[in-house]
This record gives sequence, structure tokens and C-alpha cells, in this order.
Amino acid sequence: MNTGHMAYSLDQIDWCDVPLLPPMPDPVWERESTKRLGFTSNMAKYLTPVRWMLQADELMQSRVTPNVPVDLGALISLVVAMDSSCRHCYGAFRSMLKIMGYSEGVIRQLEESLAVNELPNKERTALEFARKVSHSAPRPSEADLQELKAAGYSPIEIAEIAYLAANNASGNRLATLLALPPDPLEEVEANWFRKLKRPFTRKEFRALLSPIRIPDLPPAYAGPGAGIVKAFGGSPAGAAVATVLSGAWESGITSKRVKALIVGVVARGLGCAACEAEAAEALRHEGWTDAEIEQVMTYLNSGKLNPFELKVLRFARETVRYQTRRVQQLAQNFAAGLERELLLEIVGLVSYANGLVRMSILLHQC
Amino acid sequence: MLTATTRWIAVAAASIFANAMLIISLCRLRKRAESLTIAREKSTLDLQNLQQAFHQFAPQRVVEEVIKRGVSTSGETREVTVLFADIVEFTAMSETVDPETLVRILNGYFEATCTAVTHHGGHIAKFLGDGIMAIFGAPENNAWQSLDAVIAALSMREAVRKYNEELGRQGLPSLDVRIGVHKGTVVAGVVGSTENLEYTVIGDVVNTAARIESLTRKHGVHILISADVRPALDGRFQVRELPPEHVKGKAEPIVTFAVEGFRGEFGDVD
Repeated sequence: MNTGHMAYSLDQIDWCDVPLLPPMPDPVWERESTKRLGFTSNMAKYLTPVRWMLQADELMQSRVTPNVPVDLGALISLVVAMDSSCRHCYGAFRSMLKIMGYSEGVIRQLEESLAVNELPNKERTALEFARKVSHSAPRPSEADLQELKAAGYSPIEIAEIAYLAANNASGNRLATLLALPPDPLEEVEANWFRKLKRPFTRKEFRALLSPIRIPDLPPAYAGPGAGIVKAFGGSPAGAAVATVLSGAWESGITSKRVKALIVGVVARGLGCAACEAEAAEALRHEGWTDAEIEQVMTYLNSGKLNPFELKVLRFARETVRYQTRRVQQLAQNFAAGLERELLLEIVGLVSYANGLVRMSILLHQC
Repeated sequence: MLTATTRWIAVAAASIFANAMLIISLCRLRKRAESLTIAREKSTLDLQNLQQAFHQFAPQRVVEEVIKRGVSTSGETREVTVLFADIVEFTAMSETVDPETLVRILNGYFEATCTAVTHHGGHIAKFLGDGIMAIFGAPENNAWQSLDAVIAALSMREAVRKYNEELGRQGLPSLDVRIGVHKGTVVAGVVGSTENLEYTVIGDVVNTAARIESLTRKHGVHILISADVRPALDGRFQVRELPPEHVKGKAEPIVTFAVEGFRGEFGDVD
């Protein structure tokens, strides 16, 4: 069933034990990335050798949202991971919050109800919005933006909250489709000595999360999502989105038409006309007529598609809303016979397309 | 001296006794706190499981509204595709097969057909005896709801064909399923009494879908769809238009189409 069910505890998530692909560490990338981040991303070894996905992962681990406090960012990550029923991310962010100093009681309250907890009203409003962005059933509306403004958030803060929610929704899909094992952060909870050391490592840990990163703005990007990049105003999050989109769009592993079709299908699935229009524009550049575009979006079929492209579209639509174990099974089926690089890129494209379309709420703010 | 020693012993004994009582009380309190924590954890888990179970048949926002404000009487208008499925001559079969076997046959049938529905984005709304009512497009929106419903209908037919092979091996009678599909606007919401609630859809679409399913017998076909569902299907579907028929509750005759098969590549990743 495509209906996404939110998880209220880690135990509720039925998670595939075998990762979709084995890890393939790239020591050179890890060394360079560690220099930039100050730590090594656990996900990176599963994303080798697709360069744009490694860069996207590094940006996901970086703080590109200077207007949102680190703590709120971590809380958004937890709430979105719960909404996506991503065992890997949920476990990691739960442990992260504990290292940051949140008590088990406060985390439990959040898990039980977003409406009733000890958090200030302003933060609660942001978390409810983040979950709406993630779930998108229905998509958040102008009224939700007004609610955030009434709670005291400025347009740039709202843009960054939406970025964090949507970006986490992408990361959750990536981790779910790849069926990543529990994050090493969870070991802190399992090991009594490390648990004991937690208060002393808190400062050090927070210091790793705090530095603000301002990514270089890539050369002008005109593919699907270009409108959303502009909606970020002056936030570094906009440059991060542009970097990921540009890297994905220029990657030669899959064709531009497959990329545009994936964005189009996810946009149709989520009911985002603006994103669908951008995907259609990209398809027109690839020689598709309006009738052909409407045909493929309506029937998920076209005489112009080969059997592989047809499978990609079906797979993309299954990632919009899903049940965790089922979508992992579909990913395993989809992977049959595909090379690592191609499979990774498709998994990356469908995941980031889901994040991108969810960010489109920002178009209401322009 | 002796009195002083006795007094000292008495004080020491009283102090030991008091400390022992304090330790016992503390131990009891700790035990009580532990059992309270366990009870709280259990009730939290029960609540979480309940919320999770509720999500199976109601949208997340409906569940949250119910948790926040209690049962709301308001519904929402939305476009859905409704599928009705029924086993042909099931009542006659129930007279020839013993009850235990009948329930086993029926459960196997539900298992096979409901999986086909849920794997194609459908939601089982009701079991009506041997019948099934499924909804596509609720609780969550679905841009391909009618396409999904027809594919689900074809998958259900295939699932019953496979199930019949299994029944045949056991020397049991085979089943024949008929399906009707219709699309339109309904009111969706949580309805019922305070003790019996369900998330369901209400509207003429539901009745019409049921009537279309009953027309399958008249036309002698397995899958029948309405003219509102027809545009969702492309050239890969083998579809035949049937003569308009009057049905109960409708002033005008309704046009239906028989879906006879599917040609070519579907691209399914199942």
C-alpha cells in the first residue's frame, strides 16, 4: 500500500536486514570530506562512486541553515525521520538528541504527540510544519506559512525550516531504499561506558554541529527545481540545493529525460503543478511534445519509453508515499541486474526528487 | 553504667531498626517506581500500536485530530475510485461446504485479493460478507487512482486464478470473482457511534460502483468499469464498450466497459 504510516517508536519499524548495496569505502573522499566536516559521514561508503551523491551527503551533514538553531534542526530531523518511518535516521537522530542533552522523557513526549509536549509553542509550530512538508498529504499550504509567520518566524527562517524538513525527507528515502544498518551513533546508547561519558562529550559533539557552511554557488542551473532555488533568497541552503541539483543534472550516468521524468512523476504524485511544469519544460528541451508529456504523466507509460525507463517511473511513483518494508522490497526487485553506479543514481534521483518537490511550498512565499 | 549501656543499645537498636525500615521503604518505593515505569512504557506502547493500527484505515491528520479534539463529525469532500468485488454463487457454495472449510476458503480468498488491492495503492474499506469494498484516492491522494484500481482488479482476477489451482489440489470448489469500478466525488470521514467508529466514504459513487459490480452477471464479464474510469486507461488495456443498462436508483442508463486484459509492458517492480 502506498499510504505512509508514521512510526511512533523504533520497534515499530519493519526494516530490511540486508543493505541494498554493500559498503564501498573511498579513503580519498573520506579524508577530504573529514577535513571539511570534521567527521566522517556514515552514509558516504554506501554512495561511492556517484560523486554528486557524495557531495549531496556531505551537504546534508553540513549546517547550511544559519537562521535555524542547531537544536531545532535536530528536532526537525527526528520528527521527519519518524514520519518517514526510517529506522536508520530515526535511531541516529534519537541518539543524537540524547548526546545533545535531551532527556528520554522529552524525546518520548515528542514521539507520543507533537501537540502535547514541553516544547515552546514556537518550536512546536515549526515541528508541525516540518511534518506537513514531509508527509505532504495534503501538501502544506499558504495558511501553514501564515501560521509560522504568526509564531514569529521570518521568511528566511521559514525557508530554512522547509529545507531541513524536505532535505531530511530525501535522506530518509535514501537510507530506507538502501536499507542502511543502524548508525554507529546508536552504539552510545548500547555501551554503558560511552553512556557515562555522554555529559563530557556533549560540548565536543555540539561543536561539530555548529559551524556554518556556505557552499559555493554553482554556475547558473536551469533544470527542474531552478524556481525553488531562487525561493531561498539569501540562505546558504539555496546554494546547497543548487549544488545538488546541478551535480545530479550534469551526471552522465542516466539521461536528462529520465531525470526530468522522475521529477515529473514525483510532482504529479504529490500534486505540485509548479514542479511538474518545470519537469515538462525540461522534457520539451529533450524533444517531447506536450501531448507525449501528458500521456506519460497520466498513464505512466509512453511508446517513447524503453522497458528500463518504464520500470524507473513505476519505482519513482512508489517512493512518494510508502510502507517501509514494502518499498525496500520494491527496491530489491528494482535492483536486480543493475550495476551499482546506475542503481545508486536512480535511488538518489528518486530520493532527491521527493525532497525537491516537498520544498516547493517555498514558491508560495515568493 | 549498666543503665547507660542498656540505653545506648536501645538507641542503637532503634536506629538500626529505623534505618532498616527506611531502606525497606526505599526499596519498596523503587520497586513501585519501576513497576509504574513498566506500566507507563506498556501503555505508551499500547497507545503507539493503537495509533499505528488506526493509521491503517484513517489518514494521519484524521488520527491526530481525533487524538487532539476527540471524534470530529466533519467530513471532507474528495474524489475517489471505488472498487466492489464479489464471489459468484457464494451463497450456493455455503450450502454445500462445511462451515469450517468455508471460512478457510474465504480467508484464503481475502488474503489473495486484498494483497492485490493494497499493493496497488488501494485501501480496504469494508468486508461485506464475501464482498470487498476498496477505495483508491483515500485516505491519501492518488494521482493514478483509477489506473491503480483497474490494475488491482486485474491482479485480483489473477490472484483468484492462482488460488483456484490451490483449491483444486485440495479437492475444493473453485471461486469466480466479479469486480465493478467507478469514480466520483464522495464525503470521507470518521462515522459511527461512540463505540463503533470507522473511516469511510459516503456518496452515490459507492452505490453506483456496487450496481456496476452487479451488472457483471448480466453482461457475463469479470471486470466492469464506468465511463468515468475509462479515460484513465491507455491503449495497453483491452477494453470493450457494452450497451447502456438501467440500474436501481438511476434515472438514466449507465454505460459500462468490460476490461478483458492487458497487453505489453507494465513496468511493475513487484
